[in-house]
Amino acid sequence: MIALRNLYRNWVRNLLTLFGAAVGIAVFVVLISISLTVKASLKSVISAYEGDVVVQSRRSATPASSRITMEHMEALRTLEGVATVTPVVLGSVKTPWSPYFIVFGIPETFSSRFSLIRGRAFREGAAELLLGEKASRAIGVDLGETVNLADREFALVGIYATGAPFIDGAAVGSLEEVRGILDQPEVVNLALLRVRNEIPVQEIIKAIHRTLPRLRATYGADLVDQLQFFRTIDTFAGAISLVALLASCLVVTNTLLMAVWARTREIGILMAVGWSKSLIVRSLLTESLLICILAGVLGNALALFFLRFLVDSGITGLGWVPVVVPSSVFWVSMAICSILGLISGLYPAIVASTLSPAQALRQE
Amino acid sequence: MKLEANVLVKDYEGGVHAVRDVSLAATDGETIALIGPSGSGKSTLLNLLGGLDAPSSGVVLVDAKPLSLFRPLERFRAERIGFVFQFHHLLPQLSLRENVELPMIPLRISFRQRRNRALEIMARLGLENRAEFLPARVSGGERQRCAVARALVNSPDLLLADEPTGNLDSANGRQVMDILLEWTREASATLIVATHDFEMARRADRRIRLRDGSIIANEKNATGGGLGISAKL
Repeated sequence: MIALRNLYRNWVRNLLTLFGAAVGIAVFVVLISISLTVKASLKSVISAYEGDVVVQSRRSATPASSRITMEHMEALRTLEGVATVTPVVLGSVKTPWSPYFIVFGIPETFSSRFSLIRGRAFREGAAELLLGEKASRAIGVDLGETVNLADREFALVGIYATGAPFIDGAAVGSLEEVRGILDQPEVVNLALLRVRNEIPVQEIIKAIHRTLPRLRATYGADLVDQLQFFRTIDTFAGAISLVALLASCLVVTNTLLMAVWARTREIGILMAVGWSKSLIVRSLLTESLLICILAGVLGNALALFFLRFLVDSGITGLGWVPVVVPSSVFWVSMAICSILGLISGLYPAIVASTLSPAQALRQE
Repeated sequence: MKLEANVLVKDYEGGVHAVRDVSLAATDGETIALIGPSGSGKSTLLNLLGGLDAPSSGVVLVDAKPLSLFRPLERFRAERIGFVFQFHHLLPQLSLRENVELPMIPLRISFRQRRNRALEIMARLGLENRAEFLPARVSGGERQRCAVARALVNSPDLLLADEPTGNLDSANGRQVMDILLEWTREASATLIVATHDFEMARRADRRIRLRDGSIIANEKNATGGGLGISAKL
């Protein structure tokens, strides 16, 4: 009761505090949401191909920067225990609708792995293309129309929807034609290996590392987590989030300390009428918790607004940025807010509880 | 409640002797007026008697038990002591009723009971129509009556009032004093009131005169004290 009234009492100061803390939470939510969404999308690509092992060049930070030569591809095919090797080309091209439009190049036989909702699979060498549902909507093209990528015309023959925003905001074409668009002849970005059932996957990974030291092989499911790019992004997002959350914490602590100093006599009154130190601590922690939980809700709303702004403005690639905050991120952010609330309020609450009632009552 | 103070001393940093060797005793139903000029130690003595401050030396006994042994002291204060201050000291963000409920919160009294008891005592003090008003929206007399209601709501057996009428006009001051005296008589409680007002002091059973932290006179009221002219609760 008192905590709520106190929030309302200094509503301007508390509103500013709320916004300050909410911005910190929003930074955290935006960064983590983008990182999680892109990773989930890439994982869905890998799982769509059912790749037991994913191979890329050793020093590449992202699949797009990976380069696997034809000789290496041949060497992978001849490895004992490998059932199939599927080359994948991927990269981004500059288009009028997106500066980083993602294009995948895969063998014709693998185009069926994309869940077509309309049209048919592309044919090798026929200048045909599949578009994700999100991309076709954004570009405004439909089946039978043409799409211009890097000054080449492609007929749109199918539209797919995988549920992964990153994939659904991209295009898929034949391996050779996409290599041409991306100007990377004689190399592919990834090799997806299927391993014979009787062979342990770990053995294949070891064999690749032993015989082809310029390549790095990982379990299909682990690829995304092991990419240097995502490790860097995660570290960066973690560091920025930590600073933002720490700043939020300090803002709330400062506000509550000011409140304690301004309300010293009131705290003395409460002590005089029998309030224990723990009750006073609880009251201040409740106040702090309320601020942080409200900041959490506001922070998530700000994050959603910012994500939508990024998507609508088109300054990022289609599907790179999620348009919703994943529920897991929302709940984690709210849990962090609760912890922040307790931490932020602790010091002011301790200061308040150590006041002597007589001294506090004398305070002007 | 049998209250005793034995050779109480309260010194502050810088060699300030707020209370010096004060001893007094009060019994059930007794009213005592502490009188003396500003800085004579009245408020400090009330704080020591109510456990809001600890003496530098000496002891306060409640029913022959040292006050410091009542644990937790806050709960003892909530249950058995009512404080009335000169400047009402109501929390401005709470309604009058919510202010009156404050001493019941540490006693874990349910919301409904708190509300009923607060409204009941406020009705007795003529505040029933002001229950949901904020302190800023009522008169000074009503604020002080609300402060008295807050002090009485847990039916304490010791009332400590620090110049409760000091900020009121004579009519409101008399009304507040009537309420305190009537309550003391009805509940056989002990009332110790610090006042500058000689008229108020005359209505107490006993007057204790303080100067520079020491008792210089402890005299029974010749008129026997009491309600005087207009007390009716």
